[in-house]
Amino acid sequence: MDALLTFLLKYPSRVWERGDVVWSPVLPAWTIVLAGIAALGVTVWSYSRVTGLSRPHRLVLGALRLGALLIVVACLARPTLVVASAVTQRNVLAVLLDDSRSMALRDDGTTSRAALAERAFADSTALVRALADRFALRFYRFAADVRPASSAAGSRTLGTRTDLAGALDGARQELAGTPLAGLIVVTDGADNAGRELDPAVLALKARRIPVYTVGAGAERFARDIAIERVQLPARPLAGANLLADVTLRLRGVAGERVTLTAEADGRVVATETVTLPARVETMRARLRLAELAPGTHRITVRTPALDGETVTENNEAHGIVQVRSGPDRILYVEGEPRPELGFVRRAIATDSALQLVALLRSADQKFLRLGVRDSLELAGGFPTSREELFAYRGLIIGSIEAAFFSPDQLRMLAEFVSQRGGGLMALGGRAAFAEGGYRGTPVAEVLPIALDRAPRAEEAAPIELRVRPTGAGLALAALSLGANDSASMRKWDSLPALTVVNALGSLRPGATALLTGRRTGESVDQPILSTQRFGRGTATVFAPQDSWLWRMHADMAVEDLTHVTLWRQLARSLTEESPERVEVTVVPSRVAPGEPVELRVRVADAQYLDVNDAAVTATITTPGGRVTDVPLEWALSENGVYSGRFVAEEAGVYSIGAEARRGRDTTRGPAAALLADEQGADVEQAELRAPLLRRIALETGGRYYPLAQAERLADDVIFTESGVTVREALDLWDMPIVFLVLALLLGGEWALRRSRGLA
Amino acid sequence: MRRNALMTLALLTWLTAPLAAQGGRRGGPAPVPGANPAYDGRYTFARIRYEMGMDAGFGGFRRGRDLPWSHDYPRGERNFTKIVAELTTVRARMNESVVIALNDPELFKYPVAYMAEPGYWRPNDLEVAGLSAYLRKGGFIIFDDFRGEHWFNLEAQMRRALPELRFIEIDGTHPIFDAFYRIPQPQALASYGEYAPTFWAIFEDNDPKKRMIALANRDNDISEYWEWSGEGYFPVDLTNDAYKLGINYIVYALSR
Repeated sequence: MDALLTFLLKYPSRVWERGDVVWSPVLPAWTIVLAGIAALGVTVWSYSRVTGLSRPHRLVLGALRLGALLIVVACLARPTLVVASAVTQRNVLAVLLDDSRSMALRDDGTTSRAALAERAFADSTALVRALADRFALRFYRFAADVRPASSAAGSRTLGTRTDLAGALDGARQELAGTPLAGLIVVTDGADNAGRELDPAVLALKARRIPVYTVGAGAERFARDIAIERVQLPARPLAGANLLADVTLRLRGVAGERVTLTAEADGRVVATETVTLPARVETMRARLRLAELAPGTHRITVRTPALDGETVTENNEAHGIVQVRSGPDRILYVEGEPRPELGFVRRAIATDSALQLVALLRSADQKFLRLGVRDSLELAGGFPTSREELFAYRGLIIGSIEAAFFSPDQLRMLAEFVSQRGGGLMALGGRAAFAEGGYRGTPVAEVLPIALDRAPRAEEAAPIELRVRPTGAGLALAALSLGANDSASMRKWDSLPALTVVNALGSLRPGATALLTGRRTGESVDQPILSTQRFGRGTATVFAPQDSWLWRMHADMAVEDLTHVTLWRQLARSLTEESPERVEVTVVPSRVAPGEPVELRVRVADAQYLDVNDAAVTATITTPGGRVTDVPLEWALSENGVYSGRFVAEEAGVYSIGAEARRGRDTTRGPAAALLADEQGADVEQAELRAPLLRRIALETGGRYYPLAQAERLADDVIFTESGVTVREALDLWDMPIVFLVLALLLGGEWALRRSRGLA
Repeated sequence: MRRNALMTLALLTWLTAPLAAQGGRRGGPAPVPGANPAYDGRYTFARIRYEMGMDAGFGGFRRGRDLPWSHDYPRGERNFTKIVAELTTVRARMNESVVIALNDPELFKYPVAYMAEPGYWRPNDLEVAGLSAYLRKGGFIIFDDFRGEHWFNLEAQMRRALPELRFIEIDGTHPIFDAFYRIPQPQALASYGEYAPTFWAIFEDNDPKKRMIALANRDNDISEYWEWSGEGYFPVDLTNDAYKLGINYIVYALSR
């Protein structure tokens, strides 16, 4: 079909796609218009004189004659297709070959993707010879970074990371001073660098550099189970309820039972047998890991290879967990002695990784301090400076009216979340929320629940609600009350009702309800525990006034520690993501030996304001114990962020700490971990991602080809607007289709005239 | 100090005056508590009602005209909760209290309980089990208004409820005597002339550094002072001290 179209239209479709049709008349335009009018006049005059024809026949014959004459007139206007094409041997064409681990996969069981790509782009192939005739070819290999290569041969496929955006950017920058006609990217599209692709694509589009993508591998495996992702808490506290969220991609394995195993440093810490569902392509499984000691642990999740599985390299995935020893300090400010305070204190006191400091206002201007570090802590009551308040990682506000706080303290409470990045939890009570006068205060802005209802009266009877987790809540480690989801749900359903004394408004957009409550006999749920991100931190509302009933209630067994477990978990979730003043981030957190790593350190002062004038040094401890200092520089694009790079040469776990000096003030941040190894990574999403490659090609004006059809590149890449080009004007008047239509029109007229006895 | 005491007396006289005419005295008719108010989350004074076992078999305590568990009811708690609400931020329920048995499931909604005259307390097994669960889960009980050999009954009954725990004597250095007021000499308040008051507590794991779960005002009767605080029967300072002790107990029990 393509060949027929190319014959009729004289040029292949890719030329038509890239060209612009213009008119280049051989005569002045007015003469052509006159010729058109004359053609019309001649047609009308000649057929008006013919006798013995019906009106319809006269019209058809006239139309056929007029069509033929107008085509001739149009040819006089000389339609032309203007296309830009690369000048031979004056342009550079870059060929980027994916060299990551996923390219080592053998989709057909015999030949790897990399070998097929090498074969398709070998120097001896017609494709490369044709390209080399027209362009100066530059070969590159890319995985985590992009490196020049002499030819397509010699791929190593060791990269544990594919940074497609980095490869496009890197090649563009390296060839910035050359006439770059286009990029050919040979890859399976398994991009796992986590970088946004759009900026790289837009930069190429802005320079009109087309990207021709060549897809290697199968778009869909016949039979495969892949551990696509393992999500672990980044830096949990010691003793935390650790959940590994595992995403499995399933192909042709419905109904089979597989056992997932999690290992921490080689020791099995969880196993779970799951039945793979039908008609589902991805599923999530959760593994509850046994308690891990403080320190850095390498977590491996794997599932055994199935019979006849296409790819087995993706049956395991790795991650790192850094368990903190704590203790995390939480300030609980309470306006009235009430059981909620006592029971929460007792629950959290059982957790050695947490310290709850309670400030109880027992009378006007009279405070009881509990759990303070020394006699000076909170000696003046609630903190009046940000430095003092922001020293805590979590904050609980009990039943205490807004008027207790000064306007600046109310702002500090909101900034504790937005600026410090701490976790704030507001509890229900007769002096909380709208009843406590918080409407219109900075604190109200932070909360996940709008305080838009009229406050309830002091003497109003409490509302009794039975509490259940939502889907989002059930998936949360902080609300897990059983060995698995169904056991957890059974436990939740067995808990006695709690009471609420506040008029709670609606959930704010962007907030998430984790627990809901329902009155007996009603069907409407209202959020009981809800949370939302606000700035750098998180704000949570826990509406009941008496969660202590989950310990004391007559229906609860003496041995039942649900209340203790729940509050320990809630308190831990409150502080889990609170940043330190110096925070080290390693991007990515996993590389292959020899790959570069970006270090990012965010530095803040005691008020958690970004600091741009500190001297920041990262201290890298290699797996072998060697210590290296890397000075970091302020990344101009982001306040408070200092960055630098280093290459992880050794395999193993690196520890990366940071120190920020500013005048006499020196602050150290907790060390981050980096795993350098060659196992597992980059094969999680091993199927060819053709839609992604198509999108890159479409947006940049290139084209996508399966690897088997790569030879078609040779004819296409010459048409480019990038580099040294020449604009060619290609005549269209002599297209075979023009003569064919002309012949059909005239032939049709002749045949009709003959049938009417006129010829 | 003297000025504060007078102000407190004036306050409580005014607050408690309406109660002066109601309630029973020792030897008077037994009070008949009304229905308990519904739980609403606020601090509510919970008085333990109990059977007296064999004592009742001999015609009842003082011939049935007086029930030991009800001593100072209702004036004691009504006066006390008003003072608590007035002087502290405890959201206390005034003019209402609950009278409840140890085996009543509703008891678990009131984490601070009060028992008068534990010398006459003869709990059945269900009550013992109820008290045991109540205290182990996080409840707190105050024993008051008893003297002499009544202590031995209290000890014996508590051994039934909490066999592994025992009473330990505490003094003014314990945090309960600094929970709201600083009371370095709690034993200065005496109710029975011939008996020197002492304070005995039961702690989790028998460890005085851990949570106190029961407190006995041995040879003392602080609710007697609460009951008559509006009448002027007792010196102001002693009445004040009784209120101070009670307030400290409540603040401690609700916050520890």
